[in-house]
Amino acid sequence: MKIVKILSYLTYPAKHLDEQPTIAGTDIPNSGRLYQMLAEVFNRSTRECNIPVCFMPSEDGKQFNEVRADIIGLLREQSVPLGLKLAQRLQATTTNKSGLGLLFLILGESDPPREQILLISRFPADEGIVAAQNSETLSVEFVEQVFLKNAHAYKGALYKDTSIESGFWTGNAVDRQINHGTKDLATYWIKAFLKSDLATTSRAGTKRLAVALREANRQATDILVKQEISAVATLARNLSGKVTTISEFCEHFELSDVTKKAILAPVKPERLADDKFQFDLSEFNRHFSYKSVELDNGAVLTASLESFDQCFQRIEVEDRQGAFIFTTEGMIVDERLKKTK
Amino acid sequence: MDLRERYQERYEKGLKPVAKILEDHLKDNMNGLPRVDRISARAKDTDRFMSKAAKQVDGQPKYSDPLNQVQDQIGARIVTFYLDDVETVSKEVEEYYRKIESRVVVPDSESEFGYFGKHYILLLPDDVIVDGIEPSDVPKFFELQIKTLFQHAWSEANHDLGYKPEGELMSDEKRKIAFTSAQAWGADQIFADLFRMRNN
Repeated sequence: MKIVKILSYLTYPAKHLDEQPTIAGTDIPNSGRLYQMLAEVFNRSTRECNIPVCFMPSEDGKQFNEVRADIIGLLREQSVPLGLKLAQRLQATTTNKSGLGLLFLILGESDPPREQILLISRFPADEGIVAAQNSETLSVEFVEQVFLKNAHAYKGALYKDTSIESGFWTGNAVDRQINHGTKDLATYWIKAFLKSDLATTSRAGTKRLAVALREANRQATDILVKQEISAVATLARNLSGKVTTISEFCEHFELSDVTKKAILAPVKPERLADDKFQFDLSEFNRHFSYKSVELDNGAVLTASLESFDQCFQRIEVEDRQGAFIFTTEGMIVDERLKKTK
Repeated sequence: MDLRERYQERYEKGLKPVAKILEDHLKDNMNGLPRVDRISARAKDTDRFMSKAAKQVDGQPKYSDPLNQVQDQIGARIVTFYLDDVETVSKEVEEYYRKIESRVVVPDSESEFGYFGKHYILLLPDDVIVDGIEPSDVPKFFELQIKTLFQHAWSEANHDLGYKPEGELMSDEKRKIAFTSAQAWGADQIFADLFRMRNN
């Protein structure tokens, strides 16, 4: 991957302003320390931008997306005025919560098969202190507009394709605030600015995870694996709405290596274990849940939903309405006291 | 390699196996939906692709880069009983697949009858590009058509009769084709009414 051109724009938070502030843009020279720093950002972007995204069609369903159109315009004529359209769009979708930002549009290309590349990179503004020592004196100054590749608020999107006419519908984004509790911040970069969505829908990604857990549970002979899967099935409700991957799901719940291996084994192709999706609890429950029946004598019967009826035979008691006899047979593999049911 | 050879290679190595996996993927995701008559997916064969790639608009080639621009190299179809089912299936499709286009295809004016159907261009899910298949051998998108049984039946017969190499249809033949479309349209409307009445 080599850089062809770098453009930069200062964007203000102007989502709710009637009159948009004027944006200044510039061409960054292809040498010097700033160039070197941005070249590192560019080279790391393939690894760093790990959320597959896809542009959304226009509201009437046509195969048209304004941001994609701006990107294609910029790729065709790589100039400050063409990049300005993306900067204006960013400014018009930025709220005070996200604040001032420095936008870099890094255009590049790759070796054959020759792909055109665009990295959209937003550095948020922060406050800082500059300290400089001159012979025996130290000057310390407060600086208001420092742009940092802040680990918590950095945002980027990488697009690569061989065809300008029909390509550039998909890309990969990085958004450190995608799981932020504030909806504005969580949806600002991918949905509001890029007019995109995750390439994998919530239900498709969640189903993949639930099926992997179900398969792992079905095939497991190790009681530890079954116990851990049963526990995460209950705890998963806390992930509702969060963007995750199957691997991150396993890490999040600190599952043992053997359970992780069991969950990842049915995921085909393997790379899907690292595919990002937004967790959908109702979809998860549709494909993997535990059924629990509590009786008025204090007994609690639990098994995975799909195997519950095989685990427990249910017979109605003739002379007592609503009463049932449950029977089951198996080897005891674990027995313990629990504080709560 | 010329375009035909390149497409033929892509057809064998990528499109054909992926279409089969995609069909199963669609069936799995639509599983449990009522009144779905059939779900199928196919790879566009080389002759049809070449014929589409050679299309012209105003004397100019329609596609400058057909391997990247033709989006129905893999086409899938879901056939439902009634018009309301098309909507139900569409909603479910949009829950599992990312779309870049959706449109309801209808004749140009209200006094014409011809092809009716709902068409999507959807992102090919990563699940179907299994190990052993090169991503460069498959397109990024596929076309999905959702139609009622009557819409499907009409379009199949129309395709068989209307696109023969013997030449264009005569005026009366075109009227007959339009007449059958009108009848299929009417049958769908009446079944939709009956379905709604019986379910309310």
